[in-house]
Amino acid sequence: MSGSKRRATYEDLETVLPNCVGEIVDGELYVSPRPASPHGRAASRLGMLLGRPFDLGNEGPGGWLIIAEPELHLGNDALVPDLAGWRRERMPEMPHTAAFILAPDWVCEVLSPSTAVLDREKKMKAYAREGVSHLWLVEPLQQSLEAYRLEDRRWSQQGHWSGAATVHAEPFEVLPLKLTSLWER
Amino acid sequence: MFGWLRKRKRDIINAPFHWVGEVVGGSMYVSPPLDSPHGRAASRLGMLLGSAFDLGEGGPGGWVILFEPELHLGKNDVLVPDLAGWRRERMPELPQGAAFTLAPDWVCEVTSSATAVLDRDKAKAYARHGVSHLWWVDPFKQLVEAYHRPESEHWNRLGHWSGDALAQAAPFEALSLKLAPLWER
Repeated sequence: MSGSKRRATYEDLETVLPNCVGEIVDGELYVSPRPASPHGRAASRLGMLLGRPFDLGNEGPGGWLIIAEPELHLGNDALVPDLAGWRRERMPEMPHTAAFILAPDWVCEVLSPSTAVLDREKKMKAYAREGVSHLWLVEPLQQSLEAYRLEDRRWSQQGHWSGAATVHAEPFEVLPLKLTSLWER
Repeated sequence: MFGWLRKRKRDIINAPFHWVGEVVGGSMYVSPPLDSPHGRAASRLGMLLGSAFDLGEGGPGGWVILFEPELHLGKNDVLVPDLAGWRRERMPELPQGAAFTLAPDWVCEVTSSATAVLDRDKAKAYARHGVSHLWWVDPFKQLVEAYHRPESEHWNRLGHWSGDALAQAAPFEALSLKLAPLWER
C-alpha cells in the first residue's frame, strides 16, 4: 500500500453514522449508507446458492473459495464487494489477514439506488484495473443480473437477465441459477 | 436518535475502512472488519445453514437467514450480528427498509478474545429484545457454543462442539452440521 492513499481520519469518522460502509476507491474515501433489506437478501441468497456447489462442493464441482464482504486492499484501493471468489489454484490456502491483497477471480456487487453510481463507475474501473476476471452486478429493485468478463482490461458484457429467468453465467455457468431466489421476500 | 458515547478513541482512529458501527445500550462501538478466518467461518456457516434452512435444499427450509443484517431494536440498540435468522411464521415477508425492527429468532456472532466484551454486551442486548437462540463461533478455538434463552432473561448454554465434530444445535438441530468446513482454509 502506498503513502498516497488517504486513510480515514477521526474527523471523517466523526461525521459518519454507524449504519454505513466506508471504502477507498482510487484514493478517495467513499461512505455509503448500509443498504436496504432486498440488497442483503439478494447477497445472502447468492452466497448460499453459489457457495454450496462451488465452495463447499455439495452437488457441485467445488474449486472455489467464496467469501461475503471481504476487504480487498488492491493497489491504492480498499474495496468491499458483497461477494468475492478465488479459484483454489490461485489461492490454495486462505491467508490469515485483515484484508486480501490477491485480486479475486470473481466479484459480485449488489446495487442499491444509493450505491449504483459508485459501483458501476468507480468500482468497476477499479476491479478492471486490478485484473478481476469476472464481475456480476445484481440489482434487486430491477430484479436483474448482469455478467461481465474482463477482456483486454475492459469489461465485456456476457449477459443480462431479469425477473424469473434461469441463468447460466460465467464463471459459474454449470449452475442453473434461478433468479427468483434472489428477489423472493 | 441514539445517545452516542465514543469508546476507545484510539480504536476509531486506527479503524480500517470497512468498519462496523453498532450501538449497544446507547453506547457506540466501532469494530474492525472480520479478518479472513472470521469471514470464512461466517460465510461458510451462512452457506451450510442457508442451504438447508433458507433455500430448503437438503433441509426443511422455513427460515430467512441473512448475513450481517442491521437490527434496530428499541431506542438504544443498533446491532449487526454476523448471521441472523427469522422463522418464516414471524416474518412472512422481508421489510423494504434498511433495517430490521423485528428481533431475529437466532443470531450468530463470530467471536475472538478481542471482541469478548462487546460480544457479552451484545448477548445481553439480544436477550433484552427477545432473541431466543444465540451461537458463538470462535475460529481460533474452532469452537461453536449454542445458547438458548427461555422465558427468563438469561442465556442457558445448550452445548459446545469443536474441531471436526458434528454439531446438532438448536434451533437447527435437524442438521448434523460438519464444523470442519468452518475452519478449513
